[in-house]
Amino acid sequence: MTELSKVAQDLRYVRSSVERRPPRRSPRPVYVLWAVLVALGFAVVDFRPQLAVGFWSIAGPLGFAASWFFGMAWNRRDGEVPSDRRPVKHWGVLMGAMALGVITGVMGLVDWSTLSPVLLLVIGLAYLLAGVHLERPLLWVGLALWAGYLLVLLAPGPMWTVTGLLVAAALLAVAWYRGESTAGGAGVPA
Amino acid sequence: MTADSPGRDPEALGALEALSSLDKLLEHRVRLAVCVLLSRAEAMTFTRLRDATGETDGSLGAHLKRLEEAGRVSVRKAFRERRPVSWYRLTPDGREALDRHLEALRGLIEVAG
Repeated sequence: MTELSKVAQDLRYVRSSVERRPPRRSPRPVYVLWAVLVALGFAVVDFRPQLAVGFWSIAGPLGFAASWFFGMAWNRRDGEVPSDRRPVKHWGVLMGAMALGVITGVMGLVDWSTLSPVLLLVIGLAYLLAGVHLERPLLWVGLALWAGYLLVLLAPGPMWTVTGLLVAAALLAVAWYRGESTAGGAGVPA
Repeated sequence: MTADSPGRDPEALGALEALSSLDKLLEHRVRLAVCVLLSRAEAMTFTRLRDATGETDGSLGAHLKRLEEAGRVSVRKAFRERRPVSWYRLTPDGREALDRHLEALRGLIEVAG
């Protein structure tokens, strides 16, 4: 065997080893967690709007922390700690954007009826970009959020609740469709 | 000796140079695969490496021991549900050696056309 053909064979072996690693996905409990938070939290906007800021001020950061915890636990269980920190940074940036948005609303700088749909648009954008750069199935959750954005703006009735259910269904569908979790990202907050 | 003789053939010289730059330890495909896998993660367990490479426990264990003795990987023993788990990570020396080896491989492939 020539040196070059040995190198080629070795590289094929290395490539097959790398490809044998399952793709990164967030653990299923993370999707379920956010499906529950979104279904509840969006309904709160319709039926108890005075509680919405309080709900999301607590549920948002706690959900992010829980997602991170689940991600770390699943990584340890699966035997691989990823060096890619993009998921944590991505969702951390979204948390930051939400915090700034909420502060803007709490300070009365922007009316909540204007601000809330925009926050929905931003969350949808975060999910769409996550679908492009992190986990492809999240594109569907992003699209559900943007559909909700339009519903909230244009349709009468409890459209936040409808949006919450739509997004929750998308999260659960993604969780079950892509199978059991593998060494994956740091979480999937909404 | 003429300019066309093998001793002065630039391609042959390039190939020789690339071959001599290859890392002896990483010339074995299992050790190369292990280092490449570890370069893509902060740490991996023995089981994960074994499943990815498809090697037996004994074979992988021997290769990891050689890499550890050469300072290319470090190992941390932990317990999970009272069972021992070995976590491996690439050391800075290991990463440097891997980069050099991959660079040499690229050079070899380039010369080969």
